Amino acid sequence: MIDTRAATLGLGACGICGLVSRTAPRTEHQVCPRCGARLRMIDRKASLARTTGLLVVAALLFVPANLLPVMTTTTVGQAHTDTILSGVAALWRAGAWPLSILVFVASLVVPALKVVVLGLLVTTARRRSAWRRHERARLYRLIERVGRWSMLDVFVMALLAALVRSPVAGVEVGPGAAVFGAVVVLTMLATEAFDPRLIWAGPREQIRSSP
Amino acid sequence: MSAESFLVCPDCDGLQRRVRGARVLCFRCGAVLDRRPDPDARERATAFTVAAIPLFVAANVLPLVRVDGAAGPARVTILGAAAALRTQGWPALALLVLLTGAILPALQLGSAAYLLVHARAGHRPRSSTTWLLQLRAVIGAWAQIEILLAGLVVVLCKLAGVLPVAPGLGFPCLAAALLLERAARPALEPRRFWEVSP
Repeated sequence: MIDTRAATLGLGACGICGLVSRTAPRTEHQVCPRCGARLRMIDRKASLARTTGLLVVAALLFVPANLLPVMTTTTVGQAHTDTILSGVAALWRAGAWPLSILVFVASLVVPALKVVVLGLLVTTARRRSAWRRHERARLYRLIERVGRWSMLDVFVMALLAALVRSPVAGVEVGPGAAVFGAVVVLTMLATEAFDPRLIWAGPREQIRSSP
Repeated sequence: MSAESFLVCPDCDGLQRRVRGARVLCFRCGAVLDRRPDPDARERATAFTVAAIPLFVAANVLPLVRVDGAAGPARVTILGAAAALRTQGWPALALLVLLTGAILPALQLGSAAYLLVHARAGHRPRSSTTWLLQLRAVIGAWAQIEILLAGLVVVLCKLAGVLPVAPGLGFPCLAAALLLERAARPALEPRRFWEVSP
């Protein structure tokens, strides 16, 4: 059982130029000797606290984001109010089902996935669990890559509001959109706040040899 | 053995020996640590980035979608979409759209052009190199042209049956700028700027 984590060996790599250098213990602000970038030290407590905080707020706001109206469409005097889900349903009924699936995944599946995965990662990291580390690392990379796609609906609403502005028809963006925007930003910040190196931190860890 | 012969995985902090000239996966967590170097990457990336800038400017000036309605033509740009949110009383949402759809992608392209032209001229990296690469690392996830493009497609489909909508000239400009920006990315890997032979 060998621990080859850089931090336990007193080493750290620069996140910009990649240079591996010795790190002084218990110093928070350290810069890379080659390029001068600040070294990203592992700060377990801060990372977990920040991720948890952002995540809890995002999860709470996710409920009103889905219940409040995101858009009110007025056509010839008749107003029609949409939530995120009813917007997806309208696309589906209009026959644009590949697009409705895209919007459904981006606006509902992706934010929910981010909340669930980060919840799992924070809980296991808190316990320094060795449970399924490879899978957890892969889950983190997944939400890091697809997380930004939840912005899709925000762009759609902004474009519709700017485009449908005639005497006979109009689109008004509702409070649900603002709350949804907050959920998107908070879940992305929570993903960035989580340090994936915490997945691999344990009192004694078993290293699997490379295949 | 120098510091140059080691590599630390950013995802799991695992220290490992550096293997040059190959795609390297982290021995422990499987993250991609290094790609096969391409000697022409910087040349090509510079051309791509320089070409992407006027296209991105055009995409911000020209309409992305047009509606040729009875009440006169309506056209929308990224700035127009953000402005509509602001006038409807959602300034924070407007700022979010403005940042992710226009300002941060512009910063991404501008910083890429500066870094590549500077490195191509044979200059050694200086503090502005580090500063810009750190900025790029922060804004990376927040520059969202591809999502804006997907949003445009959704809008076109949503309105297709109701209004006479058509993509404007800004649409292909934005798509081309995105493709060029993406194609330039391998040469903008931060570590490349400190490698002896790029």
